Amino acid sequence: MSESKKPRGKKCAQDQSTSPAAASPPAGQGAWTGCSRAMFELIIKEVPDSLQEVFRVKLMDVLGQKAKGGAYQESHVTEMVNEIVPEPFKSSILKGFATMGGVDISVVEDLVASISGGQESVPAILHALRDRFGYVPEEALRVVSREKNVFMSTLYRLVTSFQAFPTAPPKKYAVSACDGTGCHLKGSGVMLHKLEARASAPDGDITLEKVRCLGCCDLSPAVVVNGELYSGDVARAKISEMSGE
Amino acid sequence: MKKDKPLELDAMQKKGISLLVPARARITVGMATCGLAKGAGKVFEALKHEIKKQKAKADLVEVGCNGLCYAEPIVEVICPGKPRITYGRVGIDRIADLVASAVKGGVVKDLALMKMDRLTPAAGGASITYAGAKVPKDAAGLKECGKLDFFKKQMKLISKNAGTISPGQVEEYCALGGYRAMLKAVTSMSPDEVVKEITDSKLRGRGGAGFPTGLKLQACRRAAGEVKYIVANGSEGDPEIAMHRSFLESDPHALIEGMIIAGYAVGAAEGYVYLNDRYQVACERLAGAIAQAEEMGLIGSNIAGSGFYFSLRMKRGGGAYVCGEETALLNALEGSFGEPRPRPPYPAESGLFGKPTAVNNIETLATLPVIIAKGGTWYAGIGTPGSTGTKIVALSGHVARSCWVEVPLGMEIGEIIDTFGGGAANGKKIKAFQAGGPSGGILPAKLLKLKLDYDRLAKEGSLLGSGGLVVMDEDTDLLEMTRFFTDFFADETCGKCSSCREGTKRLQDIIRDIMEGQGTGEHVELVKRLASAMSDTSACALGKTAAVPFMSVLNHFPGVIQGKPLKTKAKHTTS
Repeated sequence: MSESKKPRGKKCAQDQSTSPAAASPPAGQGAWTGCSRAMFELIIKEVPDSLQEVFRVKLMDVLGQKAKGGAYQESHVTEMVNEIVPEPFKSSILKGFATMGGVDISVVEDLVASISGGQESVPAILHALRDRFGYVPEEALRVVSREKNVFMSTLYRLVTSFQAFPTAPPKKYAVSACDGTGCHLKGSGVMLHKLEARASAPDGDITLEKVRCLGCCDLSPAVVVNGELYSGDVARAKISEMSGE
Repeated sequence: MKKDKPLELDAMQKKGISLLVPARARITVGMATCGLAKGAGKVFEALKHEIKKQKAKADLVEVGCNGLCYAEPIVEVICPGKPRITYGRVGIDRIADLVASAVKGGVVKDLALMKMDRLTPAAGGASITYAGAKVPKDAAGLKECGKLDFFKKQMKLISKNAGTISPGQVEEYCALGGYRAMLKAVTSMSPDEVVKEITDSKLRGRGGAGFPTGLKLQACRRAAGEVKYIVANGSEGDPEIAMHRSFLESDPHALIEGMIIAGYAVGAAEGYVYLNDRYQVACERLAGAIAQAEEMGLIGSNIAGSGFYFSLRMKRGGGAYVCGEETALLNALEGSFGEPRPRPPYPAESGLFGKPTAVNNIETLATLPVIIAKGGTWYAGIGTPGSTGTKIVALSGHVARSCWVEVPLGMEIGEIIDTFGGGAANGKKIKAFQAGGPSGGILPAKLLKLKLDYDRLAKEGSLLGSGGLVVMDEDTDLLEMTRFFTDFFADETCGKCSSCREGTKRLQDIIRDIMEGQGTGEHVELVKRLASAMSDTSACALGKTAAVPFMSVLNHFPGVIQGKPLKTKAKHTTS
């Protein structure tokens, strides 16, 4: 595909000028590399709606100085936050950066370009994104939307209607817990309650997903934790460990 | 070219047999999900290590599941001229013994489950002989596989290869006559003859509703249009043991062969397999099998010089129960939302990308080679007049042994549970069971006499479905299970029809009230009205059957809902 040969940065810059949905920073100043753009948007989100436009212009000025006319890099954005954003906003923004999981837009663009086709190719792309990042990042969806000419709203609905596409990066323990009929009969409900409580706690370190069969119906309960399958007593011990008992 | 292909199949079969009955020891490990879940991966690694350490002359092979899921990890040893020995529940600590005895053709007695002298497929045809009439001394005490009830009462037509062959070796699939039926269809039969055989077999869809497959294929064949598609439905979103997964992991080529035959019958040049995303192992093995089939010229252009072109692609689903509904599946394949389309038009007229499409379950498609090989009339002689052939059934829940088996239709459900599953676990009594997934409702033990038959089950408000049988013992809280199934439907509704979207939520509310002891007679009346409204106005079976679990409990176990909980404030506990 000749598309994929284009410099990545340029594509992002194009997006800014052509997409009406994204508020356009001054064009021509440079390109966004890595997740710099997503990081920038994250800062803007911290500002009350009515002030966002003012802040956007001001911050773009600062960023422009840092980039010295070159591409906007992730380090530029981080530097800017460290220098000019007051606490507690600073901490919360930096925390936000940390959870972005290092989504490299150029990787996303390569991946999207490698799967040909129109909307029918979207599920395959979503799977590939999930396999690559462990979840489907919103920034990546924007690339899919642009390249495959599919509305963001459509993509959002697709992603949220299928279990296979988590929208946030997994926490310390990525848990798939079996709650199929067989397991449920053997008490997997109790185990799930424990895990659910832990997963929904604000400081919880569990990403929980209910699944319908892990293939070991006679050894309930069964959980997959970070890709490793535990069943029976071993699973019970692991669940206790994770739920901090 | 024209004459080369059949010869190649002969060569492949010969090579396959030489792999299955090798000149040196062949050690196989059951590596389907059920095996992997119980540590087959570690057993495999340990065997590899041990063979190297002992410098044993043995080949180590990954195979699928033979149905004895409860006895995983399963290791089998085949020594030249000796019976095939099956070992169950193999622990890492026994690997050294196993390898040492394997090279000598011995038997590790305390681990051995059974022996097999000869593999004779139920459908006849090529068979494999492992050992002669003379029983080696070591194996004297072991029962012959075919004499155990577990295997004797099965009829393995489509699952004959599972657990025997390596899913990654097309030659091993050919050993027992694989791809012969496809060859027969495309080189010596007209598409109409193929459709006729399938119609004669009276095969009905194995996914749920049981629509006659012959009619479906014929409708698609007759539909106007140049471009047509075959779609294999491998969504299998039922919340229980997944037998089609085990099957596909064990024998992916059976599906491919079936799809080529179906493609030839309807005049489709392209096929899609839609697979549940959770089925990683199955996805990998099927992808590998498709690549192999392409390489061998089994799919692609001008198959066996017949001029018939067929290509096959696999698509991973996103894990939504509703995508098991054929039109929702088609939407998902097109990259759209997994929600059902209004019918008519039926997919046979306007399906994938608006073209005529035959959507069939994996098991249905895998049955086609058997029908073509043996003839539709032969197949129709198995089972009952209304439900012909065999069905893969998976047992789970409070059953002594979880397993999957292939039985002729018409077998009593109670007999299936007793013979293969060993009855209820821990010597308890069976209180209820479920057939066909959540939509099948909860049936009382007195209906265990029911025959496994589309029409008999439908008469009881249940269905054969994909073939899951879940056993519930006397201690089961049926109200809790009703809640579980209702929650399942509420989780999985796609939201397209308001009756289903809202109805499942209201059902949840009502069950919660009843469980909290707030239930009244009005609640029950409301559920009855809700159930009929949902059944009348939902576009697909998910909404139509969402109230079935509740209604079945109400009908068969009136005490559970209308008894105590409605009068007393009994506190519900989950156990």
